[in-house]
Amino acid sequence: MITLKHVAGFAGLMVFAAALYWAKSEAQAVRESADALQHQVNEQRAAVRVLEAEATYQERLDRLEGAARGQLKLEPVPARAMATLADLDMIAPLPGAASGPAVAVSPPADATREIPPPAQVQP
Amino acid sequence: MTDTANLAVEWPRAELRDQGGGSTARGRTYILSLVFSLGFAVLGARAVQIGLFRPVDEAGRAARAEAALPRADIVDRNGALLATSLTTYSLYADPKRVWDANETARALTTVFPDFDSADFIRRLRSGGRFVWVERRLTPRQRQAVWALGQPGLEFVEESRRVYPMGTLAGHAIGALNGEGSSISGIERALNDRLTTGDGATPVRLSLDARVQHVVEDELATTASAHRALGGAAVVMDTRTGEVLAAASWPFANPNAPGATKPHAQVNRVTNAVYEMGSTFKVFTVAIGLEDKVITPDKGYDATAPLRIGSETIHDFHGKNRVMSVREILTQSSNIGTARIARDVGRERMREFYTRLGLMERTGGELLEAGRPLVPARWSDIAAATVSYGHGIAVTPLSLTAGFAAVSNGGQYVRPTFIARNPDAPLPVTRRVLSEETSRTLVGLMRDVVTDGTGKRADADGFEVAGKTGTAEKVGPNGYDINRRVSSFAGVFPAHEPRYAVLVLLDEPKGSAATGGGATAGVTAAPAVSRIVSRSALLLGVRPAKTFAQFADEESPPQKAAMEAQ
Repeated sequence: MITLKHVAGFAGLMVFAAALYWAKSEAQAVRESADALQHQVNEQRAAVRVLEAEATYQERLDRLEGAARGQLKLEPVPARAMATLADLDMIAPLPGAASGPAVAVSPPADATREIPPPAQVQP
Repeated sequence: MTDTANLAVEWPRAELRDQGGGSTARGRTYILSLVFSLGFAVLGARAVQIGLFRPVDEAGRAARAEAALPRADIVDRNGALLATSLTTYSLYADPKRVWDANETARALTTVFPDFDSADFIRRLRSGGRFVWVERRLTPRQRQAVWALGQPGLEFVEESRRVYPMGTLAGHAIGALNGEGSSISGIERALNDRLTTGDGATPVRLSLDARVQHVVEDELATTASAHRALGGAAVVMDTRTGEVLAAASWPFANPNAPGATKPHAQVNRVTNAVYEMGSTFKVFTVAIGLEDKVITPDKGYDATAPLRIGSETIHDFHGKNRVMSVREILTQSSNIGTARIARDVGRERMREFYTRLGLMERTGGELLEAGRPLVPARWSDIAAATVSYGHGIAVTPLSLTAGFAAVSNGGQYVRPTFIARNPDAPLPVTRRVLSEETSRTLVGLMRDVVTDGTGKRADADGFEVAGKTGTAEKVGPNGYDINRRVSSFAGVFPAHEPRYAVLVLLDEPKGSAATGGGATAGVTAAPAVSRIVSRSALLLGVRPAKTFAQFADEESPPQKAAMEAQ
């Protein structure tokens, strides 16, 4: 004998099955969307890799060095061209001032900086 | 009532229908309903199973995702790209879908000028569904093929390993073969790490591309100038063991490993062993000082060749007098060094060399690590010859690591091609010398450069300390004075040795610039000087002299005039 309980139970089962199906469909759609996004990310990453490789190729050290030497007439800075702030008086004394000290006073460590000699850079 | 009336015909009465029988219409209907119901129930159950319980192809998705992961990049210690994987497209033809083979071949010739049309047509007509046209197209070529609009031409994605720096550090980085399998270098040694990661985390090497460039430039220039068979050069951090530059000449191009000649494929830094000659004297003096068998000023008789058993040891630059240990090193006396070795003792020598890593393979992470050739038995003559670098052959990397160990305060650090984490503690090391001995030894090596055979190795302001080594190579008839291995190994700056450097030339020839000589002092030493001069600033080493001190050296008359004022 089919009672109201049976009908209600069957209807509940149907609703549950439909909800389960909907949830699964949604999850599948989201997964497919994620896959598509991942595919796009991979494509973009691949494009970035190509750009990085091309940039590295263009900036090869031998090319840069050749350009610096050939086009700009630059040469590596020798150690004796390294100066500190304390050497400024010797390098470029103020007009009318006495000559700078023959031996430079040791500057604080953080005061060291490189000053390329004018002779190294040719127009 | 007539008879007729009485004659009641007994018609057969219909029997009651059998409610459950299959022979009745009702029964058949029930059965049919049951069959249909069962059928629909099965279909419904299957639909529910498919809709709700079908397993997702996770394994397939993971496999596809993994296939999409490229081999990880290789970068230098500063992040400069050394190796990367690019997606390329290869072109193939499906013969069944090609309308006109001649027209397709003609069209392809416009994109690929060297295309072999006849061979392509022949392959198209040989049956099958797949014919390679061209592998690894550039994006421009791919676009051009698309523009042809020829049916039957398809693309397939392929990964291609690219080394944008060309030959830079080619031996250390290694290469892949045509099938994409690693065949050498870091590519081979770290294959699992490069292929099993997420593809986005690069492997950071200890190499510094800037220093590597300088080292390769100077090595190639020097080796070419002296018409050497080959050459090797190394720069290494003495404290961490990180190899900052490792160059083997002739260079190898990892972009075209098949085109590299066998002679150039050998990594001479880690996989070739050489008798290094007098650079080994540093180790002999080191153990003598450590054991307090000698002092820098102790004298040794070098007036005449030393005879040990049937062998006689001579000096290349014979002084024929008593020499101090300092002079033995600066003037590179074989006789004096052999006498020191005799005082130290052959067993102690062997033990010290073992602790210095000279008796084992030293290739860092590279699998191409040459096995050293060491004496089978440490006899008196073996110990004597080993003391000045003959009768033992090691790789240039081994020698450099040895120099680093005796100069950094006496700790042996295993060399590595992988960048260390600066915040991590220094790797486990083993002590080979006391700090005091190490300091004394570096002072003696500095004397070699200021007053001895290594004068041309000095770099203005960067205080190179080291030792020259000129070894004769073994020929069919013993040592051949015309075939040499010239090297200079050293450290800089001498007041706080931070970097070890080595340049080695295999069979250099004399030139007019060297007065016909091909010894280490005129071949390898100048190369070291130039390498240090160009790379010290890149490594953050400051000159030991101030600008004013350099100025004083350049103009002593001016200084005198200033003092007179």
